[in-house]
Amino acid sequence: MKKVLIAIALLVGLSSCEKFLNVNPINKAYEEDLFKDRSGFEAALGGAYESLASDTLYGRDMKYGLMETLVGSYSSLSAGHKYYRPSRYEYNYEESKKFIKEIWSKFYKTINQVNVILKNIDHIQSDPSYNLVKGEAIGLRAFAHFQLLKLFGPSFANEGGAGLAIPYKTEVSFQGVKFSTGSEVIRLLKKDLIEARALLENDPIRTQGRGETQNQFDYERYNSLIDYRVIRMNYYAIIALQAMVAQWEGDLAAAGTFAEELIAEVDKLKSIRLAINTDFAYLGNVRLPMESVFALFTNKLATYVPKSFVALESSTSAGTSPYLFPNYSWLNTNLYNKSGSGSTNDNRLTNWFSRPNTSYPWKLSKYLFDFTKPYTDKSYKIFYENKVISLHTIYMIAAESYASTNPTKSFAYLNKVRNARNITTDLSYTSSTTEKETKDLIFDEMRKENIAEGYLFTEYKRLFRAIDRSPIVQPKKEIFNLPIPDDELLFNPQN
Amino acid sequence: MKKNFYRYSLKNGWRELQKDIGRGTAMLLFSGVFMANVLGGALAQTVTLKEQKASLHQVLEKIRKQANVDLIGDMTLLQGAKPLNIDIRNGDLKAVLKEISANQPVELSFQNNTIIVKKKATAPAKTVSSVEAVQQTTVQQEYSLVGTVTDEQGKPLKGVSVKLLNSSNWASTTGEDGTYSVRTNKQAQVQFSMLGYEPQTVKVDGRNHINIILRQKDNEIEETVVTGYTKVRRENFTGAATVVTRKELEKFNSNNIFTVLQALDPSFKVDERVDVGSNPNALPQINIRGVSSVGEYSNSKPLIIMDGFEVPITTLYDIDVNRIESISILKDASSTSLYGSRGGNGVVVIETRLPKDGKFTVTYDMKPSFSMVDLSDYNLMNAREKLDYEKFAGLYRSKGINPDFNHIEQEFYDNLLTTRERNIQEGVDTYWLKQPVRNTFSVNNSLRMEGGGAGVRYSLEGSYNDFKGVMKESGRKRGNAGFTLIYRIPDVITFRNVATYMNTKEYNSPYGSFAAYTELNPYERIYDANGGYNIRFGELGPWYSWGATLFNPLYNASLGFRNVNLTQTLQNNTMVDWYISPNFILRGSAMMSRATIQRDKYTSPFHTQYANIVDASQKGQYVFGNDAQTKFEGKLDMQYSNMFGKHQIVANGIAELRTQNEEGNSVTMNGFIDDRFMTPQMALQYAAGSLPESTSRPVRSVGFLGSLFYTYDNRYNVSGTLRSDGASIYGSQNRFGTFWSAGFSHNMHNEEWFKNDIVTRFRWYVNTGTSSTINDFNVGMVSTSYRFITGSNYYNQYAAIYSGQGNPAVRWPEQQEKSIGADIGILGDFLKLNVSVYNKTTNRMISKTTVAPSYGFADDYFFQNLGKVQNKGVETMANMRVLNNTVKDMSWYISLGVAQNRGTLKEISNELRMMNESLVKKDEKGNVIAPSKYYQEGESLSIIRAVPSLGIDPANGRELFLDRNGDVTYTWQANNQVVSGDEEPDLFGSVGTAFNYKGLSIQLYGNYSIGGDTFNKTLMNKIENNNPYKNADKRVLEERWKQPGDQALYKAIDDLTATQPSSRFVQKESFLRLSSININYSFSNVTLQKYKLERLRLNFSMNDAFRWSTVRMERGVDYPYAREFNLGLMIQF
Repeated sequence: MKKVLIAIALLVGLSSCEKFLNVNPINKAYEEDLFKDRSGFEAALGGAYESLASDTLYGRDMKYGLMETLVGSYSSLSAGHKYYRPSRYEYNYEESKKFIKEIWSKFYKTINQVNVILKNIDHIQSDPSYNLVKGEAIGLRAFAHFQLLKLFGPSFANEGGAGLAIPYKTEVSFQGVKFSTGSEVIRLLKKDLIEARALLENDPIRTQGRGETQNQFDYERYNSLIDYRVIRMNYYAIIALQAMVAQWEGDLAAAGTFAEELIAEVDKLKSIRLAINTDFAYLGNVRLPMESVFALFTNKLATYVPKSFVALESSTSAGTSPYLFPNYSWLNTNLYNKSGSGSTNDNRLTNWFSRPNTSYPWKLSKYLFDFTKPYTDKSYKIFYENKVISLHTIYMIAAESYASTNPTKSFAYLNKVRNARNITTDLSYTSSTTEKETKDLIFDEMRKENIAEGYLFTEYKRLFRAIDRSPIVQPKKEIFNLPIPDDELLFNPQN
Repeated sequence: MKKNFYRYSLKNGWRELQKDIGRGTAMLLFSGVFMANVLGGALAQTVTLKEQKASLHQVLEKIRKQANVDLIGDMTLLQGAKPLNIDIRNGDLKAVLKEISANQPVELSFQNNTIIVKKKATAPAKTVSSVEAVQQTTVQQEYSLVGTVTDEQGKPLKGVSVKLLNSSNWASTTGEDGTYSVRTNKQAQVQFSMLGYEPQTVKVDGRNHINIILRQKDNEIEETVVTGYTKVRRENFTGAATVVTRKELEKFNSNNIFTVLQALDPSFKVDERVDVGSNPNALPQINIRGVSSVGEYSNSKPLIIMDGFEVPITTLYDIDVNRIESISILKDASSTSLYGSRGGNGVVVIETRLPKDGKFTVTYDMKPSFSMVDLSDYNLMNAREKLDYEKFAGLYRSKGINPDFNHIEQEFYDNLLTTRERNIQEGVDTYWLKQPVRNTFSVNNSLRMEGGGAGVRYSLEGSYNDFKGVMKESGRKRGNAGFTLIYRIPDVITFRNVATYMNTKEYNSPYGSFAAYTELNPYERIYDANGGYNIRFGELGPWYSWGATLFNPLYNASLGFRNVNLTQTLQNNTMVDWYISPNFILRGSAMMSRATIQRDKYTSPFHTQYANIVDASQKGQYVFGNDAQTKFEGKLDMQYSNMFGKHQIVANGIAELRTQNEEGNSVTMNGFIDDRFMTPQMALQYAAGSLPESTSRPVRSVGFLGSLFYTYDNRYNVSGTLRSDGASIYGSQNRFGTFWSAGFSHNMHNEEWFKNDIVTRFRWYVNTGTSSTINDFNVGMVSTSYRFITGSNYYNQYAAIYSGQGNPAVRWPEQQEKSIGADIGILGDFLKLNVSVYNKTTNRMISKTTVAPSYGFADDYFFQNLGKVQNKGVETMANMRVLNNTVKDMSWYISLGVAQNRGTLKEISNELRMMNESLVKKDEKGNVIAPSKYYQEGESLSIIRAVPSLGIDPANGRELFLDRNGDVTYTWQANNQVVSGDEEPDLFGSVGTAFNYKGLSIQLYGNYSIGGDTFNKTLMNKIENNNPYKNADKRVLEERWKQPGDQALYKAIDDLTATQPSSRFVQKESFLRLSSININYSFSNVTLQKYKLERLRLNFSMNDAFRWSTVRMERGVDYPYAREFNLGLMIQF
């Protein structure tokens, strides 16, 4: 009987096997293996930023590509151009659908990625970087949802917030999430932003500046969380988003408060500041990175840009080319040199548009940099920084928030920004200046600043303004609310 | 006698000398051979006597002297003995003693070389007179019948009961030397019987010496079913299983085990491989009882278990048949549930041979085989016909718009036509099909040595076979080596170790796909005027290319080429059985194996596929890679067995653990300068943008299993299993799954009330249970995955690129199976019938689910359990003994297997719906080129969809279709397609017959299938869709519409539009394939003794000799079919 017992003991000995069964392939990284320590979370966050920075979002289409073709900054496109259909708001063509679906999908993929990170966040609860990782993740989730709301949701100025907007995804879910109304999305955005802001309270950007690193020694393991904070979802970006969300909802007072809070915040350290004249001397500063509150780092920018903008010395002109050319004369006449507010001194006009001589077409030189310079070289990384939220925008939010209550203050903000662009003639407020005139001035300033930034389309939508291109396009729901992709409606039916 | 040992083979097993090895089937054979050895060695003592009216005492004295034996006992008894007459030449001593004492009051027995005289214990004396009185009338007829009983090999059989029919008085058994002696009369019938042998009855017909040969029952080894965990007597089994023994495998004399199994069990289905034909490097697709799941991650492969451990299906394909002792096919839940998560598609259990005890024996087996290419399915046009067709199709007519240009073009065409006409006149009629093929001769050699004694036994074996395929320079080399060692201390321990090495080299033909040769035009020459290859055909002129660009594949074949996969497997199994007490056995076994696979594929830079590439660094390619699979498995099995009165019980508790990993890398290199340097080192670069591709597939699993068999009085049998499986690939949320089965069987023939002379055996069973299949389950289904890609980083941070969404809730699919069946024997072995009915349902198949983009999942899908497939079927197998003449040693058997399976898709998943779209095969112009698989809820899994056709309009040669609304139309539209057929046959199975005469046995086996539909691609592609620039079926010329009024089967000959699937091409197919003919001859004992051999056998077999089908279709598209002839020689000494 003793032997029998020994034998049984042997059998039972095999039973402690839970640990034994934990093994995964090594040609891919799996959730449970990746999210074990800080470096895994860093890599996964890197993945989320990388997808935002890719060509179908901020590497091109959300910036100088698709988005900018909707507002008439470029010369008319030929029928063969890939943006031809969307630039005419013909969203029902396959070409347009493809772009729109890609934007929708990519933002949601980013959202899902940060939700996977958040699902596993408890694994590093005791790590000092816990707050940074979680704060950035929640902030990114809000950011991506906010962009989707702006593109696919209602224009609050036109429809209010009661209509269905987009699904708001707060967790990895294997069931379809129903569309929320515009107001509901705003509520969820505010909630996420408040949480992110609290978590990012000790963001190093508040002490080290926008582009600095806290990584001290080469032999230490690199920590991307404390390096170059402006290309990450940082504390300032959260406040900026709070301001922008409030503004989108139409709550201008709240927007102004957040905007002024942020202006005061960045003023302390001055690493983020308005440009000065001498800044333009350096090619790397053309896109005014010193004003970035939040940027994405697109290390493939040197391969993306040449596909949209042809080199300065090239004689290729619009017509049948696949490139984008600025609608220079229109912009020059109707915007930069508009009587009353325009100026030929405007650094933007002098630095962003050029041609070698009059026999060449005008080019948007804003994005043309020396593509041979690698992003890995510290001196050139600035070329690859791709601005998403600018301090300029924050000033404009502040200006707009005072347009009806305290127009003088609005003009003060406006003039401050104009000075930073070398427009020395200040605009002055008189008692006869109407609120609309104030707002139009602010909007013109927005337009001058955001050429090829992809930002203007949603600004027109927010204000439900006619799109100032030739010919002028009257505001319409069908134009401003991008259609929800077919696959979404097919696979996530709403009833 | 043997049978008694094997009540589950386990009871008493620990005590019996021969059975400690623990492999039941092996032992059956083994013990037989063992005994034969011992007994064959003892010489029978014989005497020669001729006496008239001699006294018994005198006779005995003479015998004593002659045989040199002792004589003891009560000699006074001999005084009362009657005088006797005797005339014996070389009579067996015992038989003689029996005969001379038959009518005497004394009993003479022979033991230890001594004749013992005793008083006969007969009936009381007072009845003697009456008995004598009766005897007086019969005494003339009554006499002693003597003789010897031997088995088929001529070895004497001991203990055969010899019984006079219609008389209970006379019964006897044969002695050690197989001799017997009974009192009989002229008219009597004597029956000889012994367990494990077929009984025989002979009429005496006045003979006084009859020698009998008893034949072993064919099902002798079938008596036990090896489940891989336990061995169960067929009698006590509660389910369906087929067991194939070595004897049968030997008769088949084939190296292809799949063919053998298909012939013997209709439920074991090997796919008809129309594309790959007889390519030795294309593994057959098999399934047992139907296709159990569908979709990208479906898997219908059965599990292969060798000596208790899982092996890949390639092992079954490549193993030397001579190493196999038995193959059991487990089909239903009663036994497959033992394998839990792996057993869902059925299990094939292979047991390898064990070494024999005793004399050192060497067995040599040689199998030369011929493969003859079979091109009879092809019916292509010859040069003249082809050119005529081209003219009909209007190829030589210029159709340009610009008249000037047209003129020039027409001139080119005319020239080309003239050249071709001239070629034909010169006798050019190239038979391209013959070019890449050959008839081959290959030899399989296998050698086995075994022996041992005093507790240690061993065997060493090796085999080598270079099987040459019928496509030139293709083939498969297989080498096998094995070493088995057994050590045993009776009642304490048995140790067994089996080490195996397998080496397989697949080499593929440089001649490429056979299909290319069927397209080439017969009026073209292979070689140019200088003896070099014509590289490109159909050049029209410098600015024109004529039709399709046809390159000469023979030129490509002449270039440097390598396409070789080399697999080497080293495996060691160790098993220890520890006999703890009479009722408990603990078995421990462990296996480790390592397989390495090397892949090399080189394409020459001069290959015509690079014809349009200028950049040298892009021409030529070398793909090389390697894979290493490492596996460890361990098992502990505690067994309790006991017998209380009529109750028998065997219970097992088993724990097992498995860990395996497959790791490998492969690299693609581009740019070669010369075929002389076929090495990756000489490549100019890595293929653009390529990185080494890595494989990593670690799997760890554990299993806990309890099984119970209970038998009451050999009448009622109950079995139950419960298994819990855990595996790393299931993900952390669903680590463990539970599987179970329950079965019952009733041996009705053992019931008193049932016993009758007609139905001699009736056993029925019923069982149900669950199991699963996990082969393609991977961790990516449950766990979200990330990759790291060059250039995909975010500033300085390497970014983890989200690449797959895992769903932690995914579980393995579950198969539920119910079976009911019966084994029936009529008139003993005259007719045996096995019938079983099953219903197998696969629940929660793993499906790829497409989701809305707002889910944010990588590629918009994730995995979930959805979809349900049901297979219902019937299998019957009948074996009839048409003739059994034991005197002439002749027998004839017929077998027929009939099966039907109906697979139905019960629940459709979104993946399958999407697949319906994505599986549609279209050409570059968007025409549908073949019906694709189509999944529809409630329909069969193998439906064929096509547009209903009304035939060809005699007026214009166009096809008429019926659309959805029942209207007639000329236009083919995809959404008019309806279910036009089902590939699943109404009935399929096997037929066979076996004829044995002395040492000669002839067997024929065939497969048949009745009533399945097939889409005849040849008709569509080679008659209608044929590009007229390429060669095609003769029927193009003969049966296509040519002029108004033609009642043609095929559309107009000059109609170059694409024909898309219509019901015209769906045909009902019934076929009969003669899969093997086997002729074996075993030399008799006499011959063997003359040459001091143990066994000598000659074999001849033929595979795929003949196939008759109702559908004429090109088969062997990429690789032609072959007929195989195998010779065989087996010597054992």
